[in-house]
Amino acid sequence: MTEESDKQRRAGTAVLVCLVGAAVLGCGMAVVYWTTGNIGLEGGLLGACFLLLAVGLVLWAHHLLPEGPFVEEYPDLQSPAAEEASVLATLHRGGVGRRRVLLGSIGAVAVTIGASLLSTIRSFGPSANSLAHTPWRQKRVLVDSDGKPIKMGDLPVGAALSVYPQGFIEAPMVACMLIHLPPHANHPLPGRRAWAPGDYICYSKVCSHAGCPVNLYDRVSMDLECPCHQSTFDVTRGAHPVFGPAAGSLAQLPLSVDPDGTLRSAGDFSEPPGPVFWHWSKGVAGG
Amino acid sequence: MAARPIRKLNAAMDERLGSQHFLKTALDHIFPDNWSFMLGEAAMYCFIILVLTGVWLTFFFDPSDTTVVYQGSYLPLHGESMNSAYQSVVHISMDVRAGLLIRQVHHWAADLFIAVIICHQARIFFTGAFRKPREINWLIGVTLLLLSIFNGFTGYSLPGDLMSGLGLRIGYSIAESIPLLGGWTAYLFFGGQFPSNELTHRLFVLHVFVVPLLIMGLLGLHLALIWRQKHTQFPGTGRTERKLVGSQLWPTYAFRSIALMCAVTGLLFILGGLVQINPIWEYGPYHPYMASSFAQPDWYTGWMEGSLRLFPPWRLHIGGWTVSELFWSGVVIPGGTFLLMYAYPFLERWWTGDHLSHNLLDRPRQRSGRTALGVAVLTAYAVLTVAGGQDVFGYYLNLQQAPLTFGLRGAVIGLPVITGWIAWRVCRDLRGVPVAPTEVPEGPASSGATPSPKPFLPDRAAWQGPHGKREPAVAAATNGGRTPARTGDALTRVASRLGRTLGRGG
Amino acid sequence: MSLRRTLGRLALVWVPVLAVAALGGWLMVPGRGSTAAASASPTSSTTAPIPSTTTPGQTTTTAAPPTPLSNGTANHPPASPGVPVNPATAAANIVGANGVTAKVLWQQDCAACHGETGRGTDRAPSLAGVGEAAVDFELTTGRMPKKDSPSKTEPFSPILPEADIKALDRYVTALVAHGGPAIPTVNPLAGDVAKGHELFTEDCAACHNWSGSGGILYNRPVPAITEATPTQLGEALRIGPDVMPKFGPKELSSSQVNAIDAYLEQAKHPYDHGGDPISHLGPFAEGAVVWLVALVGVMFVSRWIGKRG
Repeated sequence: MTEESDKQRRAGTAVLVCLVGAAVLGCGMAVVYWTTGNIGLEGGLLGACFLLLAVGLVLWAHHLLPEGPFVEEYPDLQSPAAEEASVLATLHRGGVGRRRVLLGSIGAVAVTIGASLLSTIRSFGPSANSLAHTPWRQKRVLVDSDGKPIKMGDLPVGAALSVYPQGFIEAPMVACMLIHLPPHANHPLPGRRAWAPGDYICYSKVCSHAGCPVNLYDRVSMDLECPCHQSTFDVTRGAHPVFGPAAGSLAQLPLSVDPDGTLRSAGDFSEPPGPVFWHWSKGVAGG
Repeated sequence: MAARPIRKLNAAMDERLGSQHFLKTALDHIFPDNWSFMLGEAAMYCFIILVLTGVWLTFFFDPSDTTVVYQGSYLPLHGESMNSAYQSVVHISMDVRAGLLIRQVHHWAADLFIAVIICHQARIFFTGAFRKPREINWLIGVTLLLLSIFNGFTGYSLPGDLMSGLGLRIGYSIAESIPLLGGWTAYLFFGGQFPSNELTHRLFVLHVFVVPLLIMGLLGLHLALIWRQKHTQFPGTGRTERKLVGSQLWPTYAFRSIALMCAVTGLLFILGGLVQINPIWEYGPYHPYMASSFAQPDWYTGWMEGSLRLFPPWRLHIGGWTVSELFWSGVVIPGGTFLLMYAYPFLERWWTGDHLSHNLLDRPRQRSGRTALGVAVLTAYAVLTVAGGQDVFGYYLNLQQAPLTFGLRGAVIGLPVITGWIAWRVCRDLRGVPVAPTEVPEGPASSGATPSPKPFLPDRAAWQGPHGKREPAVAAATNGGRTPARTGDALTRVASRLGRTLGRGG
Repeated sequence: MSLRRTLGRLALVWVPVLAVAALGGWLMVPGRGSTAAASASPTSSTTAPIPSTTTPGQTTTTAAPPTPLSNGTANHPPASPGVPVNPATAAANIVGANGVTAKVLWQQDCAACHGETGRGTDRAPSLAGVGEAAVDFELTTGRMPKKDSPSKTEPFSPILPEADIKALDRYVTALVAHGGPAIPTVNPLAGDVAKGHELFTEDCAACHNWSGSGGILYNRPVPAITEATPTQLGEALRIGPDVMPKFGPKELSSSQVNAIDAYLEQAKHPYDHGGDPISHLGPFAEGAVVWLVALVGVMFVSRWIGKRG
């Protein structure tokens, strides 16, 4: 079978070429690393090195190694009934299974230990449990992200600005959108007539759906939209959702004006801001 | 024969462990040769690369939420406040030599890992490899998928960039939406209101320690069970329920497998060096008031993102309690997905009444109902994934969001029905195409005894369609004889060609 | 060997060939070359060459236009002695690109829709008080003069020549648009990139994307702003084109506008240190690469290693 061995010799040569090539490429990677550190070259060279190695190994496997078909028996998984019975008998050794009360007690102890260990997960939570209240409650001045207070007249009609309670810019759940609506555009909800002095209206920037920052503002249709899931809220009607997966309105922040024109919150949000949860209407995280 | 050091080492080990019998059996172990059985191995090699590159990155990553002002070498971020984690990832990407290469390989490997797992799982599903006695391995596999997706999410969330922050915020909201326990769950898991100062550190412990350890353990178990039960095989010459045909572990199969490992590594390094992934220095650090259009998660959570976008705004008020609209789209749909995956082998066994053990695989065409179901489900999740990038598609295809959303809502219900029906038709039309000689399945009771001549598809197992209509077993034979409908004919030819290409044609 | 089998074999070859071709295609994308060039100091090197349509003289408000251009009006007889010169009359004779005066340009390109006085018709809104910034923005971005196509938001290339636009800016402002924001001076070199990034992701990125490459509202696309000049950017912030909210000077100071533009200039030439950026489309594009390149590669290798059947 000279032809066969010729073929094998050729395959052997091809494998050798691949392996030598791979070694050269691998060296190339090391050289690049120590000199320029260009990651494109590093990745390319190392990747090509591995690919060439793979080619060499496949050629080796296909042409130089025994290819079956080899046959093997599947194992008999199910054991004979006698063996099964003897295992069960072994389990009952010493009458362990008969002592029901003791076994039950062991179970009870296990449950107790489990429950007491599980209760330590409380350490993972913070000490306070309120999801409802924000620093806005203390009638704070509205500031921009640089901490500059916002005054009436700072925003042209059609403007929208992210605002925060003074001193709590990075606090959770406090970000709001302050919008200057055109005159008479606002249709306030009952009881919120005084919440938008001078057509300045303020809503939580935390989406009522999944909590993304709602800051796409369309000043023509006067909608706020969420960039994550496209929920759209009508600013002129209590930020009621008009499109998308959100079911609830954005929380509204009541505003008041200081004598010098500085805008200030008149209290906390109309409802807990952001996505709803089980105890949402009670405003706390847990029972 | 073997080189002297090998001989000496082997002898030394044998004196202490008596290892020769085990080694001989192990090296002779037979694996079937079908190419599609390599997918699971490719996933394992992705995982190994993930572990190695991950360990490398861990040495440089700082899992801390401490606020710092960036003063490093990447000038556009100079003077910007960020958390320490983000700063360290910028450092890895900009200043650590080959750091960005390793980071990108890690990220590409994660993306590929889950893609390969899904293909592997699809192969298992369509060929019925999950059937008795391999249900345990199916359960382990589904758990591995779940853990991989979870670890992908935690990894995506670690760097503290704009995208990861938005993703975490959504994750927090989903946790919050769980009835009764939601507020507490979110509080305990995330350490308080979003964003808390403990978040990155917790995610880090999960990402580099808890979940990888679980994956490693389950992966070991997965392989041990394959070793014990031996691999399934397609029916073919000499292959029976009792006889496995293939190549020996040493040397042929080992060489092939190592070659696959090298190929996966090579592909990942080429991608990691030449194609940029997750350039966090361009996204910038996250602050809770920041947002960007086209915010997307990594592709494998795209279906959950799509479910969030498409689900109608259903909010329930029960007494003084509230069930968020997010509960349905963020908890029920993903939870239901995995529960049904876990339950599938048992549901199918209940439906077909097939309690036999199987070592021979089904051809997808022989199980038109199962194949149609699988195609339909995959279609639905593909549509959901597209919906997860709905804004990107809308922008580039110049479509408005409202019609796109309604269209996708329709597609997620309607398209699976259509693709499922097509798959079902193709399977029925292909049933006439000859396959390798069928084999006789054996029940456990008859193992070792002479197999009783049962038909390959037992009557109750001849599950014909999604509506529970069961045709008599002879239908298969008569169907092969009749002329298929015109559409069916064309589809048949395409599918048969594909089937032959992919090696399913026998 | 049957035809079917042959075709099947061919398909096996085609899939990887197409995948490799696709990968090659990316690597050939012209943007790739810039990755190395942008390396040394991204701030200074990338923000330097900025074409500016703004000249210092233009930044003065519209109330009094005493720039050299308007000196030409001195040759014309004043309307009547004792009556102050109407600034519109003064600006009407500013000469544009082809020796055509601003007034003629107005009549040719604008008056048909906006009316002879610019107070609007049923075809187009009034321009009263929109400000010189709005006039200049609409003209330099090519939104105006609108021929017959529906409103376009891209690209940012003007339809009229620059001299015509300058003439019209002055004339329309004097005629009807005065009272609104003036053309701002924007100098990205004076801006702080990091501050700009914070402001941009707070106020702009939700619509325009972190990279300025655009986005989508639920009922309309948002244009990419990477082609906008610094002046156009400043104008857009002040006037709020289309549905965009306005940002008054007390909301965003001129130094903040500079910072935003400095960031945007930097974002136009991102430091794609990691290789091909896949058009900056983000994780979904990365997912597509995984499925179409990496996974196909794995399948191909597996198929080569393993056997059929």
